[in-house]
Amino acid sequence: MSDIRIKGLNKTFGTYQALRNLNLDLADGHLLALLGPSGCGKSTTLQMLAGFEAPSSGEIWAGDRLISSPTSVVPPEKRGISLVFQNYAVWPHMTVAENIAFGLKIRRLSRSEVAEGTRAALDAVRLGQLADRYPSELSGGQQQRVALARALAVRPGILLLDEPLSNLDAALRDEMRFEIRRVHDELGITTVYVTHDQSEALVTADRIAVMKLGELQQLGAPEEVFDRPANEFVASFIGNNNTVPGISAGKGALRFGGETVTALDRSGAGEGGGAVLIIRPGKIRLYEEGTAPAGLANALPATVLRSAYLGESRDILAELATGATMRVLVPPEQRPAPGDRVVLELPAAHCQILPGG
Amino acid sequence: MTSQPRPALSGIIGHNLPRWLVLTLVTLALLLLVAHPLGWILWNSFHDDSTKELTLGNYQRMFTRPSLWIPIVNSLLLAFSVALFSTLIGVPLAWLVARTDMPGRGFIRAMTMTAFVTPSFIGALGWILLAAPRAGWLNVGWRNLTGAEGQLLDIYTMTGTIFVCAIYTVPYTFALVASAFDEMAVELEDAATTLGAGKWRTMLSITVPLASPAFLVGFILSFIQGMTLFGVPAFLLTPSGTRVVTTQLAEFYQLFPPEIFLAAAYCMPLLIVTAGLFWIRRRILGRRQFTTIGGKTRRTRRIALGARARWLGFAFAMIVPVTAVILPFAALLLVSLSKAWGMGPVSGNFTLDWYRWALLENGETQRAIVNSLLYAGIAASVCMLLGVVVAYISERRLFSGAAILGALATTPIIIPGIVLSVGFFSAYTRPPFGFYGSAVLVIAAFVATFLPIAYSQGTTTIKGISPDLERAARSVGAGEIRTFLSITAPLMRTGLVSGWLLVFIPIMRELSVAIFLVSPKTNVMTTLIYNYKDGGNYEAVAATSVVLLAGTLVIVLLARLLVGQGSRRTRKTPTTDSAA
Repeated sequence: MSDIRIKGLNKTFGTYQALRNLNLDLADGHLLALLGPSGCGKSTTLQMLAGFEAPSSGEIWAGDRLISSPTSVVPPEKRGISLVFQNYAVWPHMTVAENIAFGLKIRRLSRSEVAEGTRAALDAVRLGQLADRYPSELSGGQQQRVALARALAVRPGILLLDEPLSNLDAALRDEMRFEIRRVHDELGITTVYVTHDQSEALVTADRIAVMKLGELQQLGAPEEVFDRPANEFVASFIGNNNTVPGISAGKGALRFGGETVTALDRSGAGEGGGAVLIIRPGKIRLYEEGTAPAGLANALPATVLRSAYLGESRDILAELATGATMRVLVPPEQRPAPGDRVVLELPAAHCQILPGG
Repeated sequence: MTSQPRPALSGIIGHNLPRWLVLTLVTLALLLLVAHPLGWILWNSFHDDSTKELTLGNYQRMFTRPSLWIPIVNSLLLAFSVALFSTLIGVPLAWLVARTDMPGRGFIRAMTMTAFVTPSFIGALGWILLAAPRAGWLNVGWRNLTGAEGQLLDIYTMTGTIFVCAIYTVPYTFALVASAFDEMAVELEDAATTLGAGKWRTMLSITVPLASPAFLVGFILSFIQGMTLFGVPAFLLTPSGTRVVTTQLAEFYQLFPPEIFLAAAYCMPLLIVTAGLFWIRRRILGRRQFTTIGGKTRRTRRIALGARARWLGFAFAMIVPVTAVILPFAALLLVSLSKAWGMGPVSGNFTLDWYRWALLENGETQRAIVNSLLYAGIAASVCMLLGVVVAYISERRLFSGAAILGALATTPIIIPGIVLSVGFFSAYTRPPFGFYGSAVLVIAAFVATFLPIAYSQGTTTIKGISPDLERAARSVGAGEIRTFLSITAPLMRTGLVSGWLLVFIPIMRELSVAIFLVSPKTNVMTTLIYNYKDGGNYEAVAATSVVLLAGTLVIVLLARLLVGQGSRRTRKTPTTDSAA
């Protein structure tokens, strides 16, 4: 077990800068999700943690051990860091048990220790009865469990997961993310989990690092990142927030054309400066024109552009007078049609004002 | 366990020691096998045979003496005609077999592949037995039937040579074009059909254009084949005094004293033409890579030809089986079982003596059979090992500049066998090597010749193995060597076995590479047959040829069984997905 400290990490491929000045600390036994769209540098970070790439500058420490710097990279096999791959990378010429035993045999353990370690890892991922199968006889989810068991069997100090669920179908994905969290809670291994899926990150992680274009955007607990996004990008990437640009009308107020909305102000913008209002689609209330209660605060007139039935709710796209658009989730009983004039109520408790992008 | 960073240099060398060792060995092997012989050809070409002085005289003579430039013109004529005819036959043949309901498709495919593994110079022997002006059986039969005086066919002509070269080159074109048709995604055609195009319209607007790069590449490869073949023109053109570049090269070695430096210069036109054509081929393939973009591999839709056209197509498709396999094989077999070729296939003429002679009595043939198998076995193994290691290094980019090794390993593809033979002769029969007459020389030349096949086979195999499978082993604690041995090597096994065969079989039938390098002790079957033919004992030649043909075909069949079984278990596993 060990903590991870990443100091001023940079990686360039030719002229392309894949990672910029990343600083990150992860406490021993915690699970960190590296979250971001493709090209954000999360996989590059993982490759450097695993020892397959050398940093262009900066350092990675595991405990009191410097494992990566531009001049010295501890080879992957000497790091005590296990990696689980997106495409499983289960060896097709070995049985499930052989796959898992491989790392133990490398460590020259006795026959009984190997058998015991393999059994324990199989049990941890609940695959005991499939020990003698070949990977080609397993489903994708089972192969992913083999990959996880293989990584855990060697009792790594750190576990890395590279988009481990993205090749699974939706139902299995839901199940496996709880499974990963359960295994983590049982074994308490320091874990870095790379994903582009915010729900995976929210379910599994103790800490989430949101990244974009090689730069860290926000680092914090899931609730923190979800409820108080640091900027417009984090807000739209997590929670599908609406981001609507407006003009500051003094602290805590934002003007959209003729209307003003009050909200928690975290922008620091002076009056007349540009800022962005964020609010999640499910928090907005929608009234047909003329049915809105009198004296409604934070209400903006809008025109419905698109209405889609999602079963549990209806997904409405509406255009404000300023030309900006907002997504609104309304109960399915409400049936606004494209072209309808509506009023959107943005409850102040769910609105935040962030610096303008 | 290091807690402090190690100093940069010793850190790199330290845990990379096995890497550097392998890299050094591989680089050395490639330099010796490829760069060194080529270097000598270049160096020799600028020196005079008698005075040993630096000169441009060799090149000057090449273009001023008609006896030297006429063979070049002949070679170009032969190559162009071979390319033309093998394209005109091979492309429709491939289409008929791959895309229509012509009867006997499986048979035609099998026969064309049989022609593929038949050494063309043995085909030429068969055709001498059939169509030599006086004694050839087809001519004898013609005279008996019609009472005519002269002959129906004369194989000892440029036309005869073009014919024999072409029928044994068709299989190359066929294989290329047929696989382009086979691999084409049926969705691409369906898309046209759903937009209202009829079957024939789809064929002409979608299928044929998509496969057309394969036509061009087939033409180019046939051209190279026509340029570089040695055995067929040696058997069919030399008797009438007509020479092509390859037979002229052999001539230089038979002179006394041999004109080795002039021969080196004379290699250059051949080398330049093949190199240029391979460059064009790469341009074509590079630009039109969409040809083989596949979808799900479903069965392709076949065009129904209609009753008459089906059989017309079948008759056309039988050209290659009849001329390249059935007729020459029958002639060789019958002559090998005859007391004398001239007596014809009649009952009193039957004997097994030639086989007893070849297999039991004659030490030369026995030694040649052993040599062929032994050299081909060793050369194929060394070749595959080297090819795979180079492929691994350059595919996984283990070193910056690893691509240079790959380029070196591919270079022999542009070197005609006879030119490589010249290069090896120059490089290794002199001090400090003095390998003349040794098996090492012959084996090394085989390794160099077929290194491109081994390398490309290795590359294909390694591309099928996701690097993540190796990284997974590294991340649970296996070092580079252990990872290669436990993960990479076992996964490559099937690919390696079929690659080994792809090298072994052509070595068995290779003549031109060995021709200057063998001695009486190191003769292989092909060179022995070549020498016997010069002696004029056609019955013995036929029997030895049948032994070689039968041996090769048996090995091919065994190999198919072996590879077919080996690939079954791991086939289903998705090893090629790679992470984004």
